[in-house]
Amino acid sequence: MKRVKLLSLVLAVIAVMSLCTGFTAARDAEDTRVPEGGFKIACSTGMGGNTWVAQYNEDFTQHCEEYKEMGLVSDYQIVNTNADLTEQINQCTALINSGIDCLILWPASTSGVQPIIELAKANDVLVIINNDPAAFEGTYCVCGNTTKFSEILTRWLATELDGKGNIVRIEGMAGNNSNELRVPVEDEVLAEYPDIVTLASGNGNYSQTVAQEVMTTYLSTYGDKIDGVLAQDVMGDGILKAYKNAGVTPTLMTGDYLKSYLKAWKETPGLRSCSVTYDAYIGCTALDVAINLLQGKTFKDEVLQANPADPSLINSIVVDPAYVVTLEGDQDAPWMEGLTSKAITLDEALELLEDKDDTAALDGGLSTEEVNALFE
Amino acid sequence: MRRPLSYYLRKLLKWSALPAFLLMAASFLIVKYLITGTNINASYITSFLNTNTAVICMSIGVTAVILTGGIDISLGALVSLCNVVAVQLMMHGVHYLPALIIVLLMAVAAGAVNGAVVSYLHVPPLLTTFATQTVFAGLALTVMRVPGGRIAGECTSFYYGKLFGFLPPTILFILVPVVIWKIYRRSPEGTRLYAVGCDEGKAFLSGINVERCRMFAYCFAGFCAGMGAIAYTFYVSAGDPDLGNSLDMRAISAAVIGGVSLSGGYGDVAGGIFGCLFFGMLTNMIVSFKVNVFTQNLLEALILLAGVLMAIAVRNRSMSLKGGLKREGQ
Amino acid sequence: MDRLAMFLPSVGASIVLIVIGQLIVPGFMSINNISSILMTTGLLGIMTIAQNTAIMSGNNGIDLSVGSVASLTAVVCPLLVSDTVGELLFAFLVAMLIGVAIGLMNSVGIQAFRIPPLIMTLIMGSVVDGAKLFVTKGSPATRISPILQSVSDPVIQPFRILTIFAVIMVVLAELMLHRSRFGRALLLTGDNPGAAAICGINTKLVGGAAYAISGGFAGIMGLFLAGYAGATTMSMGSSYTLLSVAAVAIGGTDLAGGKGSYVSCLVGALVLTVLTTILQALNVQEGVRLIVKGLILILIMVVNIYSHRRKS
Repeated sequence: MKRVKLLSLVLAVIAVMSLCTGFTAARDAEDTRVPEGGFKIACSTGMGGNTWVAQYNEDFTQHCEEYKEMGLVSDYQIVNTNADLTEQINQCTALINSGIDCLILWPASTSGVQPIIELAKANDVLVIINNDPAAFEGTYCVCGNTTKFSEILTRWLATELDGKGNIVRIEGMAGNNSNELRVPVEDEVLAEYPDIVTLASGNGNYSQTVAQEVMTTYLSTYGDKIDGVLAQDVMGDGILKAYKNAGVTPTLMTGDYLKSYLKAWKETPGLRSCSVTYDAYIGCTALDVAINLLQGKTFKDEVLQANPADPSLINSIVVDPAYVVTLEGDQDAPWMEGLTSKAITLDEALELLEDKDDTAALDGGLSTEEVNALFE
Repeated sequence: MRRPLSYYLRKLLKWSALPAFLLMAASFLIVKYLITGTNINASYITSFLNTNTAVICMSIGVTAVILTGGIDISLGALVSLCNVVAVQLMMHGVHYLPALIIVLLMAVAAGAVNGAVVSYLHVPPLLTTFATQTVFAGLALTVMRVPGGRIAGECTSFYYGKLFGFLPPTILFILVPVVIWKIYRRSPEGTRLYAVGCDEGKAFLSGINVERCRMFAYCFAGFCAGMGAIAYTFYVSAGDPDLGNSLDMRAISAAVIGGVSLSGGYGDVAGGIFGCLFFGMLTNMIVSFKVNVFTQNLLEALILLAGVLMAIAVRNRSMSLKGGLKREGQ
Repeated sequence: MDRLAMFLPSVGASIVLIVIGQLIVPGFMSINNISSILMTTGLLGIMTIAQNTAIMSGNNGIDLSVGSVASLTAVVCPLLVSDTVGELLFAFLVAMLIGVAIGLMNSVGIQAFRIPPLIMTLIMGSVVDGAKLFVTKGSPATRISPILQSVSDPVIQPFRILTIFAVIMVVLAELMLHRSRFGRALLLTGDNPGAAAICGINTKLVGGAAYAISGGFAGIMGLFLAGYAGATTMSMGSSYTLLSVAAVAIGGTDLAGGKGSYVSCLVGALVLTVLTTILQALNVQEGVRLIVKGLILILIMVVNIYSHRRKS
């Protein structure tokens, strides 16, 4: 018995020693910086496995290849995780330790990625928070204007209703960052139109099937009383299916920027809808910003905007949606005020998507030249 | 009495956590030596442990539950709940010490709920913990709708500091449950718990209070989840209602790779710890191999499958060596 | 009589929930709503055929890969359908075969390597998810053709094509279970493998076939899901995994194996669907919704267990 205990003790000591070699070793020299001729870029997406992310990855990869040809990027890598914070931290730690120059980070948890930021700062890695705004000192944030997204849709709906009518609302996923930013904006705009009554509001969880079920329930409960539907994105097809199942033709609803929805909209006569893009190209904009910063350029005055997650931090580039699609494509409509977005018609939108799959999303963004112009 | 070397070798091979240990050691060595550009120094190991403490604690807890023949998939949601409660308490001015004690008590109480429903209401553990997972997740969302918040500065500086000059404080959160478990394991009650896992009917007939053993296992699992949650809260310094939700299956897989038998009665917590460390290293490896983003998940899952096959093959062999224990599979 | 006892708690629960639904949500009992609930129940019901088979085969049987299999066929198989019924049937055949293939891999792990079903199917699910991502490069099938989407078309209100197919499959499965040699072999293997072996049943083969069947039905369900949704997203089927386990449990199947009824599981699916629909219609915070759902689930299961104990 004693011998066995001794043996186990010896094994345990060996195991601990092999780990402790790391503890007692002196800190190694800083990894050598890659010369200006080519930066190492890494992108960590906090969500995986849906077409929007696939498009984001594709756009990003293409853009990196273009920079590679110009010699500005020597190596790039994309990792993804499905809302798993632990995995993202593990991945980013590995990335930072492999000696990257810049990390474009789409946080799996907007509050939980602090350790990654700290590690990046300790290793002189530039961090750009992308797509889902999060506020951390010492980083930059490049994201789409998610609140404007909802503001345009809500104002369009209110204008179409002439300020009067009954609506149902289908929101995204509770606790999701985008959702929590958009709902108050919708509330704010609707407050300006006291004659618009919200009959019911539910969560579609950004899922076509859940949105379909919720809409079916609303159609059964309220039927003719519904004058319009206010919904967030990636749920348009589900809502249309609910209408189809119920045998009712939709007349007024906010739409989606997926080609499948745009096609279905075209094939539904009498449907008035509005689609606002939430651009997957935002990753490329982040890359453009990163390349400029890595080359040592500084932002011009007044270019940086307040961080959507924490307005007291001025470190963000917030990009307006690229396109607003309506039947008329009116650039001067009330919901277009103050935007840099392009108003286009449904036909123009379908033309832009002509060679793409049905699952493609209408996409656009600031061109590289436009981003470069933001710097000295 | 002198014993031959083969005796000790056989004893080693019967160590339930051996496959997991080997996997961890192998992945550690691959990361250290085969992947260029990795500096495995103190800060690397510290941040590695920091990131994975929550999963490690969860797998310690879930091992205890599995040993009784049960399972617990609610621990991830419990971690989220503990995290948001801790953050909300601290943001409303509660001093961090009572806040953390409240959180730990709540975690144990949650475990007790699981244990009570399984033991006294006789609902199967998988379904019970599926339902409680939903409840805990719902409570977490009610306590904090959106990620955010801040915790007391002392907690963050403690966690990012050093114990005795060189140890990362996160080790404390892993050691405390392990020590508690080791003490319990050596006590007569601990042996009874293994007996319950091996064969509940016979254990009952031997006069063992089966319910009490189970209650301890589930409460202990809750406690572990609480410890892991506190560690994670210190690490990210904020709250998130979804914090731990994706970790359940990983903790269970780690425990199984660590040699615990899902029918109960065989295995130990060390295996689960090694399993979690292996998983962390695996993620590191996949990133460092610069695998295409669409191939990453497949590769990781395949390596995991291979790891489980090996672990279970070894375990089945050593279980039959021990003889007389309940076997898995037909 | 024993089989009827299995039904009663879940039938009772569905009636109670439907009445509550009508009280809380006006228009709940409308034909459109009922037909939608029946469709969703049908989808979950097909999944329960898969899950029930795995659980009944014993050995702590369970199939946690069904959701992943359904997601895979949902994003891949619609490509095979453009506009003819022939293509549609072919697509279903392919979906089933993909599911069977994955199920067989599960069987190999469980029977040959003696890996516990929980872990084997869990990891297999991850492998399938990874394979799906690898094969589709993140972009699911392009367009769901109208003929596939027509599964949502009504036949006789409130029954739609999907609902009718689901019910037919469940009834056929139930008949197979109680009238065919394989069905009886399955039940005996799950209940008492030793006795089954003595009777000359190849328990390894029966157990293995159970997971192949499970995979096959999961594959079929995935294609139906794509048709129902009218659009595909990558993780469409994932939520159905644990839901199918809950539905099977509510339906009274013993999780240890050997006893069960497909029809009863379908009723269990109905209970879950009605519960979810009512909660969706309520204008409350998502957190509250989840808490209520969890508590009601525990309640239903306790009632289930209690009523079974009383009978025995």
